[in-house]
Amino acid sequence: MKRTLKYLLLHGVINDETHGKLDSYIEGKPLSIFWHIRILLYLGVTLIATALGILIYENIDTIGHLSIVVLIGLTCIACFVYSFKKAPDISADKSEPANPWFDYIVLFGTLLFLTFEGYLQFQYSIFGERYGMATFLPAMVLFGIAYRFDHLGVLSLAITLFCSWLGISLTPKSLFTENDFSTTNLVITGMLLCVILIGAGYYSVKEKFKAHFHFTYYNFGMHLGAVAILAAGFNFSFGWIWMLLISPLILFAYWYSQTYKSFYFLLFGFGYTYIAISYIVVEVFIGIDSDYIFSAYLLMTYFIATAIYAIKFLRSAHKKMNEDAGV
Amino acid sequence: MLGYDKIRQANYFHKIHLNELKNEGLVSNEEHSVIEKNMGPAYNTTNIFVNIGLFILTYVIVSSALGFLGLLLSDVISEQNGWVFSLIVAVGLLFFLQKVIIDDRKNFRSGIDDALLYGGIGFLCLAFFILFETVFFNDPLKSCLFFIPLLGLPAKIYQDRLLYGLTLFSIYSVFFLLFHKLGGVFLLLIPFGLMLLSFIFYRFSTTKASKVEFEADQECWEVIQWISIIVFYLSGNIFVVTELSTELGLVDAFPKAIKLFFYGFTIVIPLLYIFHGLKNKKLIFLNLGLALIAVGVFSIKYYHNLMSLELALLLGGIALLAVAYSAMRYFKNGKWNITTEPDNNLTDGLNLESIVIDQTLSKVGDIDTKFKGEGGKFGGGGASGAY
Repeated sequence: MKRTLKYLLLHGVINDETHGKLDSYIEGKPLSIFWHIRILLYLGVTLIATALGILIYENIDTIGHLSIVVLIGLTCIACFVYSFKKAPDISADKSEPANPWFDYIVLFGTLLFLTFEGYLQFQYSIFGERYGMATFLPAMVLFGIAYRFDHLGVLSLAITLFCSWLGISLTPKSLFTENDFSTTNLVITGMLLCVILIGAGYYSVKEKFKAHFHFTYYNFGMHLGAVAILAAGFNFSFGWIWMLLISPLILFAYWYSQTYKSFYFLLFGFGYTYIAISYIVVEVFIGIDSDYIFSAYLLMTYFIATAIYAIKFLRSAHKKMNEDAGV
Repeated sequence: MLGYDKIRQANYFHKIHLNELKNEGLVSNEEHSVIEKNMGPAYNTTNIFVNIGLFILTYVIVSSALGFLGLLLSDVISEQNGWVFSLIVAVGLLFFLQKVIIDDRKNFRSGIDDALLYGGIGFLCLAFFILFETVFFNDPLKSCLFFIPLLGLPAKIYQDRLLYGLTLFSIYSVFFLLFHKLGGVFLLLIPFGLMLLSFIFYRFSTTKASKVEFEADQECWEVIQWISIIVFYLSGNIFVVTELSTELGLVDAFPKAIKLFFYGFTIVIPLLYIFHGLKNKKLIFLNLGLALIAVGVFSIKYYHNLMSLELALLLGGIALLAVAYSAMRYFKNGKWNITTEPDNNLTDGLNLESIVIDQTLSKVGDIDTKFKGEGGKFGGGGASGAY
């Protein structure tokens, strides 16, 4: 930064006085530890919730067991009493937390609620054999918490829980590793959830009801839909027909990237398209020639040509986005 | 000329800082446009997503082109002349990088130049490896000595942070292997030698970072700072010292007092890093200190199981919340010129935080997997159809 100020001074863009002012501003600018504190709060809440989760089961046959359960229940209630007391009024817009603790007290209460509910089902089978209920109801409660206290983290947990109710694992890692999209049912469920999530995001923006939640919905929706469709394309016969189903999703990703100037969506949309098209091309090329030598040449030519085009496309899209944003 | 155009490179950083000044409201939109117009040629700025995309695509092109060549020349390439092929590819990639990508297409840190540079260096190493396999590369010390100029020279020419880091690791390895070769008392001196070396590297890189003319060089020296701060700590970390001593056949070789020193070092150094980082506004020390505290706690817990896991987690969690609370209270009024307010756009950070929360906490309440083994877990169990 100091080099830039010196450059501006040397080129007569700023005078000595402005240079001095800017220089002392940068020199005296306080160091922000905002994210450090948030990480500490997040880790603290996570460790305590995990510890209580272990404690409750480790001591299941001991005298202290009931007191741990009561402690979790009471702490959970205390968290939500505090949250309701301190929460800003219900609003359709984004509301600012009352204090830096607020978000983490809500998160802590939510985690304790999940532990408590899980324990009640495990020990007393409060939902009986209706395991779906044991997932669906907490998901709905979590959506309520997320909307009432304007909490993106709890919203993500609620969406994940809701999807797991329908049999799909949706954490960023498990989406790719734990789902077995080899059954039509699960693929269709995945696609349906994709539509629901994107629809929820669209509704949030259109109705201006917690519009800032839209990224979370869209993000989960896009990845889930794309992974389900691509997996169907790889696993089922007539894979290319499944691959074609990705086109509306790609159009959506492109629309989002242009509307919100999001290169993240453009990159993933482009990546998923590239995988889908390449899969079809590979299938076609492999079928051309029985000893695969000619196919190999064709494929390599295809990858070189398309990757060059992809680079050009991404660069020009980035340039255009910057120009539109006035950067 | 090899490397990047220094004027374009300097202007690249000016552009980035100008945007920061604009975002902070210190430069108006009009001023920003005028300055940028009069700035002269600059490399284009990109973002992390563009870089990742272009990096991967460049590798797709390079791999496909090499596959194509490999198929064409499959009858010509053999074990004996493999090094010639590798050398030609390395020279070809580095020439293409310099002539086309840097000189003609004006790329700097776009992902394309990085991919070609690492590809070129990789093939260069491979060529030398095949050629000198029996002369140099059967001896780790000679191999590391060989890597210092092989990585260091392109690191300097292309001002590449990763190559700077790898060169430093090669130097550390040379030192370590040399002491290992000398044996005897030198083995016991390894931790202290590495500490001294790290201290020297830190001082040297700090001086260089503040004196170099170009920001790209400064960033490279900052990488050396990061690594030397980490290695300094790891050299005296009780886990690293104990495990390494065992590997080297030196079980219980250190006297009790020295061991106690390492225990103290494991916990005290991260705290000192944090203090130094806060007091002198050095983010590098603050970030590393916080991360190394966790390393220290795990290191000690590995040898001394003072309490059960759940109690350790509970107390650890309470301690973290207490520290966060105290920090918020202490720095509330800008003490030490530190603020607890955010200094950048919150939206991206909060979206990222929500993804982290989802990834790490969605298994809380996961009961059935652990206690019934039926696969019905929140966040995935249902996918198995067992729910």
